[in-house]
Amino acid sequence: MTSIRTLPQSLVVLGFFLSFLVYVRYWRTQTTDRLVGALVFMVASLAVIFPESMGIIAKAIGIERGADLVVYGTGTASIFAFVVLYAKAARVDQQVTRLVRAVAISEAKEPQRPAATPSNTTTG
Amino acid sequence: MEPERQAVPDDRALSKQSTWVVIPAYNEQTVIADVVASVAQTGYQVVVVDDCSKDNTFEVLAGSNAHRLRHPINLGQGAALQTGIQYALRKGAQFVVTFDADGQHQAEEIEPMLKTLTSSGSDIVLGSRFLPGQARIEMPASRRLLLKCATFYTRITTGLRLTDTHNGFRVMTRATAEALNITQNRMAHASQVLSEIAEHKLKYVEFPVTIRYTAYSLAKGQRASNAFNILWESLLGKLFQ
Repeated sequence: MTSIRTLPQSLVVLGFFLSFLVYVRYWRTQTTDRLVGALVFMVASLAVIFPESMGIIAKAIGIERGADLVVYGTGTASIFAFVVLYAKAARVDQQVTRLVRAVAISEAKEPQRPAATPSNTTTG
Repeated sequence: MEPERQAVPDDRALSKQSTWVVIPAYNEQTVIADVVASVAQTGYQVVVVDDCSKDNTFEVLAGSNAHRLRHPINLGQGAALQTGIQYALRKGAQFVVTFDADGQHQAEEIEPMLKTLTSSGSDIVLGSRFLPGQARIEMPASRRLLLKCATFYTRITTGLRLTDTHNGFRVMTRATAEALNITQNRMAHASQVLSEIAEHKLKYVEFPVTIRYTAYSLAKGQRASNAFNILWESLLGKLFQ
């Protein structure tokens, strides 16, 4: 029984992982992030208000217990949160880099006896 | 602004003035002055980008022939390189050279590399330690294996056939410098330069360079464990473009 179920489950996990990568790389926008966030919140609320609902959904998608579904869902949501924060940090990093670069270039110290450079262009 | 010089400079002088050597530096106060002096002696323009060193790297160059830039916060070698390249381009550079600050590269080799660039009509010349016919460099077998793996990885991910993928000595045309956009601030910039060469279909050629390994440069050199960091940053960089 277990061995028969392992293969399809691995495929589900693999498929989920790949679609996750595709989502992160190509489909992510601020709106989709917020939609996913809202969805996670709604499912979490559902789980708290109607605990039995998790069991029903779990059975429907082939997971034995509702508690297991909650655990998997929590894991997925955590990874999602990590991705959103990481992407934001990466974006801020690039912004800081551009700022630091602009400061460094505008405060450049030329050699005291410059070796006759072509006309100096200003930062633009 | 200085008045234009009357005498028309010959091509040679012109290319010297429009060739910019970019040296990213971090905590190099003991060697940077000598490195800058050796490059300045060749007549090329020098720009040192101090990546917010904790020592006096920036200050020791006060009387030198280098243009000095300083990052107000530490960003990494890739970022410093990009800053220097951008500065050189704004100053009208026609050729851009990237050069290490720790003294392992030889300033005399800039000229033959430039000649190779123009005579071969390439977009970029990449320094290599491992071209056929070069003297075998003493290094631990593990390091040699790691560098071999890096060339193999580059071959399968970018299609570039190189013998040395992590050499900081490069000479490129202005157009190439404009095309490169190094966003990998820290470890993975060398790999990024290569993948951009592949992406923009630039014409590249390798050139045998002499690397002088001193106790100083070895102590400052990368550890093997950085290979993991490079791979990690490359993958994340591709994911979050």
